[in-house]
Amino acid sequence: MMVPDPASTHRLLGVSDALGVAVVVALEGLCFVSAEGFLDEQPGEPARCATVSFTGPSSGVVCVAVPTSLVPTLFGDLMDGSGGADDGAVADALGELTNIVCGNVLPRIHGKSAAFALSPPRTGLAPSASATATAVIAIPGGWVAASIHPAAS
Amino acid sequence: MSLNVLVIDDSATMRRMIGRALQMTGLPIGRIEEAGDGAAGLSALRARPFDLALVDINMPHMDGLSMIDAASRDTQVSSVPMVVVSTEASEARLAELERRGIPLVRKPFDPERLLDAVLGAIGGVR
Repeated sequence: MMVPDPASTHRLLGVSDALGVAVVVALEGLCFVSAEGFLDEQPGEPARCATVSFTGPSSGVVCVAVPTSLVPTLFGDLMDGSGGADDGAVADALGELTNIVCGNVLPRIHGKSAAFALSPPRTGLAPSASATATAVIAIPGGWVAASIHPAAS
Repeated sequence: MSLNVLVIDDSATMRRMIGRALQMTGLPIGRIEEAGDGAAGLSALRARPFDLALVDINMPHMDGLSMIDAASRDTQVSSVPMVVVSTEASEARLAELERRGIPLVRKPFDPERLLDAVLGAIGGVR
């Protein structure tokens, strides 16, 4: 499946497609990685995840998961030359990726006039609520999954 | 003259990326220091002279806008040009920053965008 062009898809896509575009934008901008396409579902391999909560016209949680095996490749260049061994650096990089995905997907869903407050990223805690939208992006050597979950009641 | 820059962001990853991007802009960058939240950033601004501060919005302890407000009321540091670097770019936020003459660079960014914003803040031209 072709990856939508981020420049031409603002407010034209469904929520899952908007989420996919936000992940592609974040990966290219933060990790200098290009997407190869979308996958139908998240592969069942061990993954690290981070979440960012948002409140505003709607409230919820954005979760981004990266397979553990891909972490050194995806974040190695961002982690001070540590080669990916430092857990805090991995958490920070994954958290920032999630922060950027969250900040970029919300205007694509709700429009640029909508203002949201974002929480600091948290790592290692996948939301318990079922996802209302998911996107799994294939990248060289693996994948990155993102999902949006309703706020816990 | 080189620019001494303070990068204020709660993510070490992002502070590192901003530092790298600054070095790629071609601007004469001098000292680059980092702070992890608005309170630490304000302390750093008061402790040493800087020519520019790049500030995230969403941070613990003191967010970027509160830090900018506090800095604007402090005659010791109020003249330091600020650039906001954030994922948050609602129309209301953009209008507020524009009214205050503070450029915003939305994450993720490339060095060109950062350069435009920095030049806008320090009054330079390309």
